[in-house]
Amino acid sequence: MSSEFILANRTRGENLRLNLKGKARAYSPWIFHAHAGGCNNCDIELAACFAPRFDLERMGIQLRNNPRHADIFLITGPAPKQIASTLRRVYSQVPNPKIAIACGSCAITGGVYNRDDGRPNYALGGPVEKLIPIDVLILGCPPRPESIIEGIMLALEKLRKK
Amino acid sequence: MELSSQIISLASIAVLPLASFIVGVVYNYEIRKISARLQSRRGPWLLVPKPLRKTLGTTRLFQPLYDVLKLLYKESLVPNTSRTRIFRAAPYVALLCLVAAATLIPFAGYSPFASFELSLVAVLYLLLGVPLAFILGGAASSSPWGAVGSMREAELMLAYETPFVIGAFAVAVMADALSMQRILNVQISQYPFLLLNPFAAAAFLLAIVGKLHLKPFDIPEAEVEIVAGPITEYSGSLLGIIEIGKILLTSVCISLFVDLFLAGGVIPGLQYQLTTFIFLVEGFLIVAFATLIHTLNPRFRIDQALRWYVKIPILLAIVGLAWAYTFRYVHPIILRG
Amino acid sequence: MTTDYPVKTTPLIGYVITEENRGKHKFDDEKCVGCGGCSVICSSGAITESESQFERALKVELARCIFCGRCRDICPEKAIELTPEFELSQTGSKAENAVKVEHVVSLGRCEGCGRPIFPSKQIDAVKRRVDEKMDPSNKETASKDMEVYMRYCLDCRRTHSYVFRIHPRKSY
Repeated sequence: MSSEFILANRTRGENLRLNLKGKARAYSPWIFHAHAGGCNNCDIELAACFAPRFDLERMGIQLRNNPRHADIFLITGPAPKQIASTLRRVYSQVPNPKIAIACGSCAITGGVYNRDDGRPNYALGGPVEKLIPIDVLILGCPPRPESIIEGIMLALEKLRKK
Repeated sequence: MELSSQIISLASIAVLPLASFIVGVVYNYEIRKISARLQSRRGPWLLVPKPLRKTLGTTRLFQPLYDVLKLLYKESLVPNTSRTRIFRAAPYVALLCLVAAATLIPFAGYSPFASFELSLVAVLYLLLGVPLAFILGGAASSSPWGAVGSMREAELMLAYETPFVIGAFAVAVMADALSMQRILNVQISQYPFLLLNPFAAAAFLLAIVGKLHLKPFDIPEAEVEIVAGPITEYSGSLLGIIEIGKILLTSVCISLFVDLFLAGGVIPGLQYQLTTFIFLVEGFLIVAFATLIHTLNPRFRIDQALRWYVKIPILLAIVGLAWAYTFRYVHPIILRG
Repeated sequence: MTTDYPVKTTPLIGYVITEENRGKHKFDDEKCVGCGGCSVICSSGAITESESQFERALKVELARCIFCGRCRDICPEKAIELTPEFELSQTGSKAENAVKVEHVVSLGRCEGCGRPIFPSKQIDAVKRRVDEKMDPSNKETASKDMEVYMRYCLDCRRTHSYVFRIHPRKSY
């Protein structure tokens, strides 16, 4: 799903409408990064997205450390049981309208921490979609910074319509 | 006064703060762009590449404006244990003070109220409302980050207000007037005060770096240390008002510097129409210089900041004030011979 | 120094996404024999095999994959490879709807009872390897045994073990 796909998906009506609210939301998304356990690789790749090589500041995106200032809630890591309630509380501190992104294999399905025989892992509070409603999935382990950028652009399109 | 000039004055109450806001948006964009470029990155796009224009717009020149609009359209979460009235009122207090100050300052040659006799004093007084609102809002937000941030803002305010005020009054002494219009006239007939009193100019500029919370003085909003300082608990539309306040503060402080020290963009001999252009160019240069300081410095501790402010800017300001007084007696000698 | 991404210019400024980048899987349709070795060794259980009456399906669940490359390293036929494609983001919240890669192999039939045994391609591959790589002194015995073992299922082998002379007491 490249950015060409994002552009082609718009209907004619959406292009013509001024939609100042949607535009402002899509032109300046602020990201809060929630680290829910995990090996830290996804966090490093996310930090690399704001480094000089892949500069997300070009699109006006800022990485904030305060959930009350953020629009996009980006979760990395499988959520162990200890952090499940904290994750829900921090998610509720993000003001509406908000988008939750699950970044990496661990956040989507538990990744490498799953058992082969299908029984649940004793330590996991579940893949993140059991705790909070997710809007965008970014696959990869860890996802390349380009994958993260692509996922964030999909989130921008969703944010524009909210 | 005639009716038309009265109408112009009334209209300018609405137009001047708006113009200051838009110019402040571009100044903030310039801060982000220059600091990004100095860090080997790009910064917000001045011209978005063609394939992305439908998704991301044509230009990001007004990126701070998009930030403000997005924040205004979000919901605002107010903590349960905070003092709600002060919490909600503080951003609006800052905004009102700044709008009033923006009306009083000559902006790009247009100054309907600057001939008011005490406009300099009024502006300095109004600009004290901004850190006051910060401190009140942070303290009322019932969060430990807010409390620590308010403390730091109070201490920093002591540090930067002194050279700010002394530098401005040094200029007032040299021009023998407290109204901005007369200060401008004195500069137009002689030389800009940047050349006549560089000490006061340097002190004022360093005070501006502290006032705008640029590094090394972005201590109250220190990101890694205290989550966001006084503005931690603000979200949504209240945060949007704070951001508008920040943008207006940038514009007001830079305009003040250009008016007090660079003759407000007027170069005697050149046409009056160029004043706006030269005003903006001088503003961009000052912002570029401040951004250079902002990018190349780490953050001070609050006691280091206070100590540094006492050592250099306050000293420079006092030297500038003394020079202003001696200049009154020296300058007729210069003019005569 | 900043790349142009998300504008995809080639080459990207400053660096190239090489062929070694591990991304989405791709099964080679001719080479894959459906042995299931990739699913045995998968580090996170992302590759699963499921059998039905006529075919065996190998499914790679990309949302669980960690892109380690062990499946590619162990495949005896070198039939699975990790292409450099990495743009796999999608909207939606259900992990079941995430991208998957599937490959289906048809199963051979037992000549005695008609039930499915191994994938037919796997039988051919084993025969080919015995022909090519086995020690000549053992090859004759192996080829003779393969005629039974590769054509009949376990139950038929057990039932007709006297006829095929593969019962445990055939040497004494």
